[in-house]
Amino acid sequence: MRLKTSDSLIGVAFITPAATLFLLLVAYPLFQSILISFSAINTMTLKGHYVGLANYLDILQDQEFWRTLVNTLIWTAGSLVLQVLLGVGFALLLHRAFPGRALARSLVLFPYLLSTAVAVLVWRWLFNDLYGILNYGLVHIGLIERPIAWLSRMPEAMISVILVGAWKFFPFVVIALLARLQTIPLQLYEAARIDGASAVARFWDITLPQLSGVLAVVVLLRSIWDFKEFDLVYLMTGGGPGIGTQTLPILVYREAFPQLHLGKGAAIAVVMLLVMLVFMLLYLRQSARGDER
Amino acid sequence: MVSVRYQHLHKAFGDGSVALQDFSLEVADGEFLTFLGPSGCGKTTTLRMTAGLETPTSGEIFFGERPVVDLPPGRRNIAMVFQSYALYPHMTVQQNLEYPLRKQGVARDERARRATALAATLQLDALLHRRPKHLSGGQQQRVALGRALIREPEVFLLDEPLSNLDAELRTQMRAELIQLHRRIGRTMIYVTHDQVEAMTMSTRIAVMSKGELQQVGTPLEIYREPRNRFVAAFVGSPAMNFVEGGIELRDGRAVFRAAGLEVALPDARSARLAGLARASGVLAGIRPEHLSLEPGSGEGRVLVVEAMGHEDIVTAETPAGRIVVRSAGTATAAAGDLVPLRVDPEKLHLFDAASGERLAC
Repeated sequence: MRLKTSDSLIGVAFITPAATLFLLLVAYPLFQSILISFSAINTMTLKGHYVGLANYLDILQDQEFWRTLVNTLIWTAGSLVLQVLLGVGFALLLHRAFPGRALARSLVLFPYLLSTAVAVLVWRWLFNDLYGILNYGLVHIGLIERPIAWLSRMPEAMISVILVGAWKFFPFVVIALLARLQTIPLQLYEAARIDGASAVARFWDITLPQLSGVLAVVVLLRSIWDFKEFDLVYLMTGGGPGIGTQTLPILVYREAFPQLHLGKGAAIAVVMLLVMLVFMLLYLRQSARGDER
Repeated sequence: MVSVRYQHLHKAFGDGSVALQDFSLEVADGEFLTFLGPSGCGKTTTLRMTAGLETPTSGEIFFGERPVVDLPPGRRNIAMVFQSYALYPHMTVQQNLEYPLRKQGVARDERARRATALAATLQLDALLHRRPKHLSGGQQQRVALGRALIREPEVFLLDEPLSNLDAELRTQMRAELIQLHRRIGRTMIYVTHDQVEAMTMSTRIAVMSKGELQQVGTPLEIYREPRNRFVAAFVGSPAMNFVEGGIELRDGRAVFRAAGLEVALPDARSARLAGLARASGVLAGIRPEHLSLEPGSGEGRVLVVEAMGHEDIVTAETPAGRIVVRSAGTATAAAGDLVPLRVDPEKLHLFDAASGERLAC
């Protein structure tokens, strides 16, 4: 269909505000970061010069970068697996009818709605080696003899961060799955019961395949978000002990600000972007497939 | 092969509503029995209890001599076709067909062999690797039937299986279901609110209303001798006309009399009706096909004529109320005409106006 000129103008007029915001707030900073990543720039003075691929070569030879990348993958995978397990479990529980279900459904959102700073504050209290209730409880029931310094020892610090991350973000998985669960026709389960499927078989043969599309999208989204998560990890441990829980966003921050290496920081951010681009492409493919269905 | 016997079945739901009351019925081995009734009459609940998807509040269901109320659906050796078909959307046609066998632990080769053979008889062989959403309504219906057939169950349960099909396909599937029943000879219990499906396919029909069994009989018995007003009104299309009046005896002959309408009953019926003579409180049921536009019983003013080609459906206003007539031929009347009406006295149904029960005659 051919549009009249006036229709096209109206179309352009509608797109302009959003396009302007996108160019100013997304495209321009992205372009700038990529540009900066090819320079040696001091964060304070913003003075520097073009160095080509030097920042990238520097990163690739940097032990700390590789160690941090591994940390990031451990954090992302660990927290993601727990989020999915908790998410599926709670979604199935909250899908069943029981008195107080509406209240329970709202309560389960609580960790997700809580500000990260507040949540971390509370968890640092719970984990505290001197007066934390976690150590008190574990000692009391005799599981450990002495209090554990949860946040200043490895691997306890990483485990703690992963646990808190799982707790903070699993409600997102619950919401997405619960919405899907409610659209699965009950007659599928009835047909399966008549066909002789046990409760476990019905989960594997009907529930899980019906959830798989949403689950794939949730896993991809959460892995992107966990991969670039900064505040929760930084506030919990500051990346420590040493660089034991340092993830890539923390490394970017440290290079760019305390160390004043804006160029190197930008280069690490660009590498992160490339990794996330892989997830993005998978996500786009998955959602395109979802549309086909 | 097995009969199904319902014994004083009762079902009440948590909210206090009663779905079924003291329901007793025996479905003979190999019979095609239809539960017919409007929505909310308890027919689907009864079918679901037969399947084991609902538990009766009290009463028992027997398959042959075996009580089944405590058996889970998977162990009753039944198959069910749902109104929505309930095909597993993520499985191919072949996987759908094989699913009941897989759950019975049938070996892979044997499953594939039986699915392929069945698909051939249902004309699904070209579709075995498609998913349900890529099938037409009629094809999905066939897969649903196939999934029920493959395990060779003792009892088939069908819950309004044709209501999602268009009119033409429905007629075609009715014929196929009749043939299917004749071929496999298994007990089939069919639920519908469509009297045409019930009349054309069933060995016997159980008419239900408000959780109670109204009448059980062959389609012809239900049509010819409805036991009460509900059954009379529910079966037949266009629906039966009802006229309230009385019975008087005239020269030893019983005459049904209402405002502007008189039908002298044949001798055989007169004798039996003699004791029932009364001035009012009698409801006459007259099927549109047992009326004609000839002098004899009364007259009416034509309101609407619906021309069907081979016959006219004529609606006329009479002093006794609106009367619908199936008049054979074309252009038998026009709106506004004053037409004579004749009731076939042999086919007049008489009910007690208060109780709705059929009068013994």
